[in-house]
Amino acid sequence: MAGIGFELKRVLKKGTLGSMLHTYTLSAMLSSGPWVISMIVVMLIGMVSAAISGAGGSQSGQFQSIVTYVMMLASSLVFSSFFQLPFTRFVADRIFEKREDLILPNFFGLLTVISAVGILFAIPFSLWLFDSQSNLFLVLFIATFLTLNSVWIANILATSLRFFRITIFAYLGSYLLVFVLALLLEPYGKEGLLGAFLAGNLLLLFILVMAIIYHYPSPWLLRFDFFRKKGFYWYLGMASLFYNLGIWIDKLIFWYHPLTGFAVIDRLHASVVYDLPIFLAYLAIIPGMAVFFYRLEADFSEDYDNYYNLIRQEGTLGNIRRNRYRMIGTIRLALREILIIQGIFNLILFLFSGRIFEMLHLPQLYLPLFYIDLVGTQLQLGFMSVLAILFYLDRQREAMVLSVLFFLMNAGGTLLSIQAGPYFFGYGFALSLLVVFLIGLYWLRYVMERLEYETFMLQ
Amino acid sequence: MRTLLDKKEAVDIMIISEGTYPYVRGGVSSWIHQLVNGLPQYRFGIVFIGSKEEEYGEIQYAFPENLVYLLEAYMFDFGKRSDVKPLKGKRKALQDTRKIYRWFTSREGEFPPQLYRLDFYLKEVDERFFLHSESAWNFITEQYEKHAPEMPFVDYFWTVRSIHAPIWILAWIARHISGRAKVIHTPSTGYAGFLGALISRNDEVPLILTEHGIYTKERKIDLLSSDLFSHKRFELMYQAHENDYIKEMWIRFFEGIGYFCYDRAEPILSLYHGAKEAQIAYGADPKRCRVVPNGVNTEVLSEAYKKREEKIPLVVTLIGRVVAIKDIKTFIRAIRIAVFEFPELEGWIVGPTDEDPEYAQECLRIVQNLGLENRVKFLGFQNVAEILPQTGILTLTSISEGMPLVILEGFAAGVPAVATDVGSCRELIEGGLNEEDKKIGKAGEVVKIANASELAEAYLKLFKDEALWYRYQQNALRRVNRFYTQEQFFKTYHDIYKKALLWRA
Repeated sequence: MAGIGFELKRVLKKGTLGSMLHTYTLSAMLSSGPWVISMIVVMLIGMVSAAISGAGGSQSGQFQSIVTYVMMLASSLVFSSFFQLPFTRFVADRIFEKREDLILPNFFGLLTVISAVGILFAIPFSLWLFDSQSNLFLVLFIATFLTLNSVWIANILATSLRFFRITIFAYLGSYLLVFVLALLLEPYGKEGLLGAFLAGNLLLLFILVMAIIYHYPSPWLLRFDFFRKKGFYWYLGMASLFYNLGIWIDKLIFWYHPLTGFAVIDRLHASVVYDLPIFLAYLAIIPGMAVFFYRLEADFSEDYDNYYNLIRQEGTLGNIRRNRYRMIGTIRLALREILIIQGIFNLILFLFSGRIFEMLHLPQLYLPLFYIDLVGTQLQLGFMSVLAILFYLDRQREAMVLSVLFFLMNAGGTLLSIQAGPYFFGYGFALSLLVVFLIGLYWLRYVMERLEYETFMLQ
Repeated sequence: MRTLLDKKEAVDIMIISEGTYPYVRGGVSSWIHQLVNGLPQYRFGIVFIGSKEEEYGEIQYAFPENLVYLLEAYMFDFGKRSDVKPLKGKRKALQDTRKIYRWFTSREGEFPPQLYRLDFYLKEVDERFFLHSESAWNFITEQYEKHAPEMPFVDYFWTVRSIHAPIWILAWIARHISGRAKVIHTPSTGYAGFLGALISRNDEVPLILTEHGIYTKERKIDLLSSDLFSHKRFELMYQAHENDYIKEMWIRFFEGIGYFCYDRAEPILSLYHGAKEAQIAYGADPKRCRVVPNGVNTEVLSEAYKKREEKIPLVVTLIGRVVAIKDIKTFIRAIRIAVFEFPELEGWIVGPTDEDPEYAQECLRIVQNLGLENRVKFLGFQNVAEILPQTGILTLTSISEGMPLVILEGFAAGVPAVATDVGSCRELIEGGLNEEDKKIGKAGEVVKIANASELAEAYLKLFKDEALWYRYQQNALRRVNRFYTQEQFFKTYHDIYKKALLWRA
């Protein structure tokens, strides 16, 4: 007899609500961690070696090398960012499909591609930056740039695969090596310091890659599934690229603006007024980051899993809604904690910053900029948190729009602030973050309100 | 939606096949094939609507010359839609939805007239509105809170979606083939009947319905016996009423679209009287209802009759697939009982065993356990015309049947039948078409379902009383030649089509 079987259960088994999303969103958070760590070390090396050799001047080899470090870190972070989030998402999707064997070969595939493209970029870039440096210096610069690209990819993969412990030890170990080698090789000048940095990062890359190989064996060496046209996550890539561009654009403008920047080596610039306060302000948000990371990891991910489990299985609509309210509660709590804990910490810094600056032998002139930078980095923390939750909820498009907006506003605002004069330095950065943070919050609220509607009806 | 065949000729009769011809062999498919082949004076078109493309294999039939059009579409192939955008939804659409919903739940008052118009589905309450808009979401959740707030929401939601999503696919088909056919003929109600009625209203062409089983009733049985949503959960935690609401939704839906088809179709045909009464109970207008039984090729089968030897073979043959619904196990047990009295008696099972291999295995085991290896034979697929002359009694032990052609084929080859009291079996064996048919008398025995001893008794009764057997044989021949020939079948449909085509002009 004529008839249609109603195999609804098969319809239910769609993987679109995959709870595996959370593995990749963490990386949005954690990707900011390593560069904070590396920045601390870079500053430490600078201070210690300057103290030892007694030459802290702006034209000293140590200073030049550290600015070179920063340029390598910045350019590689931006350069590799386009692939960072898409790749972790790719990995999360493969894990969801139980195709862990595809992880390793695609990781190597990505490293191959990014290194090949990286060389094409790094050679002209380094030739443009340095026209009076030794060939060894150029080679070391290019090699470090390439290594760092791979390190960022390996790092984001390792954290999204939750190799937290080994990742942290890898960083500590390799930067200790950088530190020691830097002191030993100091007599060899800039090339020595660059070599120390390269060696440490190679060690870091090696440890991370070994950990990945060990945990995710595969019969293939190289695969390029990640670059398939159809499955590529453009929105994520753009979001990640513009977020990183946004983070660096204000610094870049200060380095190269004739009013605020100066040449350190050839065309490599730095900004005396801007750099130090902002890097200190970044160090100041570490407590807030830890708090948010904890909330996201411990509470929100559990709420999120519960929520989607309820949706996929037993939940009545009432249950599902109650769980969404709980998610909203967790987000609210996390954001409030960022504001309160980071706020208290910042207040203390405000009170003692004069003395801290004295201790570090920094001119008090930097203080106003440091204050506004503290506000700015705190807002950046908030913005980062909103982005992380948007990634969690798979709102790639919104995340991308926010990142592009951040980049444009930070660029425009920074230029304006330079025009407006020294008292406004840092306001472009802080204001752009205030705007994207508020818009992000508003969108997040909208998304959370309509979560069930969008989950069910837009599929 | 895909056009597989288009000879660019006008289609006289468009047959709508829901999950049958030309992909799946079976009663309805053979019927369609027979009809198209037997009426070369008409040009036929087929609209095949299936559930999901992957569930169907190769085309099973060689198309006759006069099949000039074939379209296929699948109703449950919801791939991942990537281009879906959020949408508010118009207030008018929501009001209409509420009205229609009220009719489907209460069945009171007039049938919502919007549903007759194709534009309603394609422009007003369109797919985007119902599947993706916020208004529709609010409506769905509101109904959920009202009627089934304890049910897992995902089950409820997908039921609502699965019920409704095919509607728009059908509406698109109706738009796509608008103006192609002069008459629509559907072999079932359900989705096919709905589509038929929709095309018929939109193009203002007649709709003929020949219902083989009672679709609504069959869906009801499917639903009540199925466990639609059994998540891995302890029995004890399971609440009986949870599934009920979902089943009720489906049943209401099928009853509603069944009515939609009955409301439009004329004539409303059935294969036997029991089916006609069921149609009337489901809302068909008795004045439009009529029985048109299937016919068999009596010429070919009379050859088989001529081949018979005088001695009645001690063979009981069951022609059918080895599946649970045919209740082969009861047949085997009945043979066991009969063999006690006639040790040389044999039971033959003619039909494929690969459809439900597990069930076939169980049957084989029963044969072994009962020590019937030499008495019960699984012959697989065989030419019926060769099997029937060696058969003493043709039997059917099914627990459900529509109108089984094998009984008529047996009759035409001079074989009396013993069958369970399902579908039209009693009507065929005892005569139920009209007074004249009743006067012909019995052509076999009718027994209760799943009753091996009663079956065995009936077999033995016929084998013991040769005079009775011969009387049954003559009645069988008379009945099939009087009422169930293929010629009559073709003639009846020729007349029905002729009238329908005139109605249009």
